[in-house]
Amino acid sequence: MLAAAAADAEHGADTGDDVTDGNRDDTTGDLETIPFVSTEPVARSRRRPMASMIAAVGVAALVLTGAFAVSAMVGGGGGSNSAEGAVRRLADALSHEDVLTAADVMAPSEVRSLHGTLDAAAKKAQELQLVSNSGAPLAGVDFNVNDLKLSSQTLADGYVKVTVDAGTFTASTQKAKFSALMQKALRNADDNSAQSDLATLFADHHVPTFLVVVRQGGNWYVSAAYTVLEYEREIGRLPAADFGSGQRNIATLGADSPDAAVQDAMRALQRNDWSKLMGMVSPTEIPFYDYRDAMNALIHKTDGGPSTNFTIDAMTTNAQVDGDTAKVALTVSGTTDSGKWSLRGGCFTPPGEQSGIYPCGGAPVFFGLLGLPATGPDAGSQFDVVKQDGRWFVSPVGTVLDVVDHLITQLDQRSLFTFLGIPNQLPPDGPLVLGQPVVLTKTDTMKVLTLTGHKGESIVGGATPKAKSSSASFTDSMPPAFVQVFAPDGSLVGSDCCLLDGQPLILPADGTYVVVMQGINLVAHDATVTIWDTTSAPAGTVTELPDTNGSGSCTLTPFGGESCQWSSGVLRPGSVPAGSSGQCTTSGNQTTCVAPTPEPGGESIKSSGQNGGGSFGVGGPASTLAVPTVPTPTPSNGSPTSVNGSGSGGDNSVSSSGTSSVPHG
Amino acid sequence: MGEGARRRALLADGCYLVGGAALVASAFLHWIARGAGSGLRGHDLVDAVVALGKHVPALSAGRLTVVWYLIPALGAASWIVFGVFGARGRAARAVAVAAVVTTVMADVAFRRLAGSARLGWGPKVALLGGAMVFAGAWAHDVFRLLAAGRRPRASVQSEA
Repeated sequence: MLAAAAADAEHGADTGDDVTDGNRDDTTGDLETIPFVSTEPVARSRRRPMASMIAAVGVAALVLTGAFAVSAMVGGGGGSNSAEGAVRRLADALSHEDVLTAADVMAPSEVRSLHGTLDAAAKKAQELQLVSNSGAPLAGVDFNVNDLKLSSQTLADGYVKVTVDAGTFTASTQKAKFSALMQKALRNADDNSAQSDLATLFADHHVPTFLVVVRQGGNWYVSAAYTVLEYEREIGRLPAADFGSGQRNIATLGADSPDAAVQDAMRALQRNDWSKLMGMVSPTEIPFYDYRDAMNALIHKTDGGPSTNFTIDAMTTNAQVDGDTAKVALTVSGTTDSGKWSLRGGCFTPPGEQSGIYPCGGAPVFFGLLGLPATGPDAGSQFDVVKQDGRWFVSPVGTVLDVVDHLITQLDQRSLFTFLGIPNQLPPDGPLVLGQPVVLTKTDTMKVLTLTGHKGESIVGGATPKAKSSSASFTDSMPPAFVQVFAPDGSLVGSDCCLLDGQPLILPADGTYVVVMQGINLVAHDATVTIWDTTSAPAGTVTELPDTNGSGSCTLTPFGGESCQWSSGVLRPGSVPAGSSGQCTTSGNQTTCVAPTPEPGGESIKSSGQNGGGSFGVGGPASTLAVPTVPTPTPSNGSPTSVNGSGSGGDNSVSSSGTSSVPHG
Repeated sequence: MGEGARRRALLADGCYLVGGAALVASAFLHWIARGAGSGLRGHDLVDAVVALGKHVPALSAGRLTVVWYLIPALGAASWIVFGVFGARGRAARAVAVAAVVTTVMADVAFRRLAGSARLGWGPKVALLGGAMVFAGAWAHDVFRLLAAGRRPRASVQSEA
């Protein structure tokens, strides 16, 4: 057939000069062959259609390619041509760890600028060496969706519920494929894998696994918003949605201008007018309006529904319109039962003692606790507002993505390394001079310092301003700073958490240590941290017995507390730490150690714990106890004993009992 | 045409047609095996890989998009040319040269933008297709030259 087609094509072209003379030489060019030329008209007429057919296939392929190019350019190339196809494409994107394609198959009106945010995040991740290749940010993580079986149910015209009848999702990690930085951060983690049955993800709620797929611009897209709302509705047995009603009634929703959209939304929130509030959100972005009956039923499930209980005394907006989108800066203030509140851009000042939890500028407490000196919303934060069919709507997704974009641009090596728990890998700012204060400010929230230490050397620290008692406001009861000490081998030295609490740290080896100071409460004022050689520390600095023999570590809890875990403790029944006159006794499983200071006006240390391993929570204000010398505990005799207690301020002693995690002080 | 030459011509023609088909097929394969852009095609694919920040000298996103679409278009063109003029016409050879140049450009660009480790089957099949079309367009002449090279020895043998 091929020969016939080729021969036919060449015969057909014999008269033209577009053919080489190769075939004419064939008879003389090959000595092994016998000249054979077939010029029978019958054969010629039989072959011509074959060549024509191949040419026709080529034309069809060319048309197909052209159509593909045009449709991709015009239609955007997203989504799929069927509802199930969209879900399968999403599964395929997941299996290839392709976040961008996954975003491409999501409803465009919902994800909006998500593509840009993902791009920016991937680039930043590579810039910070978090990933080796920004194109494969999930390298080392392997997702697979297998044996997917789907069925569809039409909810309304253009809305299909695609149920996952069968399928498995497997996820595995290969540490060796992670970037060098991630391998350092995950040095204690192993490769692992997990598998789940996709069909039974929500079996506990007696709901099948499904996705809602919507048709937009002729293509089908997976809708995250409809899917979430439909789950909420099914799980709560709420009234059915009126699919598409938001778009049908769009002329009656939203506001006339971007300013009005934001102001009306604020007033609706203040009046607890949830229906109005739902109408101010873009119906194609989050279809609250379609689910208004379900949402109202959900709101009123609780007695009377939620109440915001605040007034609006003054409100101004400033909109910058760019085509069908706008950015609106909002300044609003009012009162609640607890006092005055205000919102300026993204800066929220709550009433009363809560003031300062949501600071603007500098590292907010929340991000500081996560080790991120980056800010979230700030005074420049604005609401995203979009125009649809002549009406203006608040865009929650756009507004949130703006904040995320802001965070991404602020992320730097320091914040990332701190967040990953490897701040000792950062280039040091300089040497730590013992006894010399280090100041942390809103703009300089972190210091990485080196310290040349020797085995057995003891250091202790202190920070000002001191955290106030737990009865003070949230931010005032927070410690000003957090210090970590990394040994020359890179390991976090055991009781680093307690260094600022007056518990001396005995250096385990000779070498260069890395001391990382992180301000976590720099809202009202700067923090000053000083590390001393314990023997030259001011009186009252040392308030706890050191942990020298116990192995363990301390972690910062999400709200500022510290939780220290020991496998064995240094305070053993009957032991008297050298250099002190303390005594430990055991009653039941409680161990109590008392190290009274004999000096006039001196104070005593008392702590208690449970035998057999446990935790030690350090909390409350640092006491002003006088311990003249560093107690050196007697080595453990092999019987694991632990200290378990939490300190609390007292007149003359630190008494403790139980396990707790409280603000680091 | 002798049987041997006929067989070789058949092989060359087959090579040309299969190469053309491979060029068309490459547009429907994954160009990126894993990560960003693996499920995308055409300008979406190019946008995704270019958005990662790397660039190829003298090959902007727009030009690379044209190059990407040219590959299946040249595959289709190779079949049209084959059907009309045969695999050894000037048009067929022009298409073959264009296919090789285009596929090599696309392959180099995607290797640079996404990294060799992430390349999927798309650029590999396209490169193979380009090579096959090129080989198909010239193979017959190459065979003929090889045969001509053997001619004197055959003459001597026959004289002996």
